[in-house]
Amino acid sequence: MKKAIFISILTASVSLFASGTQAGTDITNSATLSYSAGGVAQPDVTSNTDSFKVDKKIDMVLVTNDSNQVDVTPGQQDRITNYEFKNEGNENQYFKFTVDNLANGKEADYNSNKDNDDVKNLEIKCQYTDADGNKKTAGWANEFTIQVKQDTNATCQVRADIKTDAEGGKDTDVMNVELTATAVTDSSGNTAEKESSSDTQDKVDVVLADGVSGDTLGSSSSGKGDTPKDGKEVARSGYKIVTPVLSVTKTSCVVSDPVNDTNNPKRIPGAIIRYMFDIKNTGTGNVSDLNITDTIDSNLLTDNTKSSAKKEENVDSCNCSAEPSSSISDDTTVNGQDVTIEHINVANGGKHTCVSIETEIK
Amino acid sequence: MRKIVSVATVLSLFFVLGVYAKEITPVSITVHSLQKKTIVHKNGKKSVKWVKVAKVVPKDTVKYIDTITNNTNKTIDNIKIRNPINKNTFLIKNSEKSNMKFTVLYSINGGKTFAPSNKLFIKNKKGKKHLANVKEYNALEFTINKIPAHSKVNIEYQVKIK
Repeated sequence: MKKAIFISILTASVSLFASGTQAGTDITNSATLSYSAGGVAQPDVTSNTDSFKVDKKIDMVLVTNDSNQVDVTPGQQDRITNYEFKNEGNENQYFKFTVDNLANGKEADYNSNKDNDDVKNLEIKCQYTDADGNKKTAGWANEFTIQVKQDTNATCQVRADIKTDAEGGKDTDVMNVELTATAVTDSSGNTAEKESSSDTQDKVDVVLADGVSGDTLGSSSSGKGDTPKDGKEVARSGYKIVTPVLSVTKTSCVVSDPVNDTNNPKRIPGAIIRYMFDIKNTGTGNVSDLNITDTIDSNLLTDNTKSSAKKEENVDSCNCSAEPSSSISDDTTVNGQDVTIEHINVANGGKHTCVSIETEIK
Repeated sequence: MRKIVSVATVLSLFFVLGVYAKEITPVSITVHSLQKKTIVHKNGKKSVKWVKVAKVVPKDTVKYIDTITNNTNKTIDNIKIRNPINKNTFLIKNSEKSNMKFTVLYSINGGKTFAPSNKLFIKNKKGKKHLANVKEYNALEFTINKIPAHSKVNIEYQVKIK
């Protein structure tokens, strides 16, 4: 008898799911008693079998992988925010994914920048593992329902188009969005899972356990919009309009003259004159691929202007007497007195980019 | 008439004896399970309550209670109660209790043999031994020296759902 009772244990396999025993699994227990009476061993006595089913635990976690609003400029399209999802329940589960703009005043999960504008054409894409273990991609779409295998992650993105400046693009614009994953009963996505009201020992009940504990994604287990045990997880990220504010100051200095060379040179015929373009960006957006065009005075020669062009980016100040370090002759075009310099970058936050060219007094 | 009465009497006696024999099992054991519930009161304080198993999900705690009843007129002794630990659960360390003095041993081979926790070793694939973790136990055996006549003893232990 003893052998028979325990034989099932010997052939038992270890549960493979980190998220726990699968829903519907029977947990049984039967005890065996041996004893003696008057010093004589008696036949073993076997108890009843206590049995119950493991219920369906619906648990998931959804977090944004962004750490700040994504910098955007008015009119940009398909700007991406990033998310990660995990089905932590004990069964393969259907989840409906939806995305929407957050209302004014609502914050993303990672900072206190309050929403004050909307983005357009919100769509979601998720790469996930289906119930059969196959890698799948859903989207782009505004919403969809997918069945995510127990204990697997999904990587999701939300893309959006940014309104043009006329619609409110200004330096303080914050457009937060909310991605929601709701546990649903089937692929139609129409019916949200609900906690079973009755408690039954021999049937599989539904237990909503999202946001309770033990979430394993990201540093924070739940976002600002999450309510525990509602069968729904949300993650909030967003976009922020950034605008560069540029100023350009052009100065000149004499590098050398034919009489004094570089020793206290004067602006006499044959003297080399350096022009310094000091470009400062006090805005919130970086600038890339800026072009400078300039028309040099007709009393100046531009023979060596192309080869002399130099720049230095992301510095605290520009000084005409200190020549920038990097040659940009390849980015410089000289056509008569017209000079064009391309591919100039200017970092935000009050940084300077210094660009210099040299000419010669006729 | 007298014959009929005596047959009826004999039949009644058999009936009574039969019922008596069925109801009074000399020694019996029953198992039942309870589930741990944490109750949050209005004042925010929490208390633990053990309720009939209903909604059980991974990481929940279940308590098993074995009730051993000695219905005989004599003390029984050398009582050993063996319970398997379901593969989808693991024993919670030091959760074993009883209303009688007891000792407990554990098994890592499906109940073939039992030993104290400090003498259960498992060999890995390389042949290296390690002391078995409580999560590797798959049966436990309580030993109680004596149960007096017409008395009950409860033993209990807790498991967590994997």
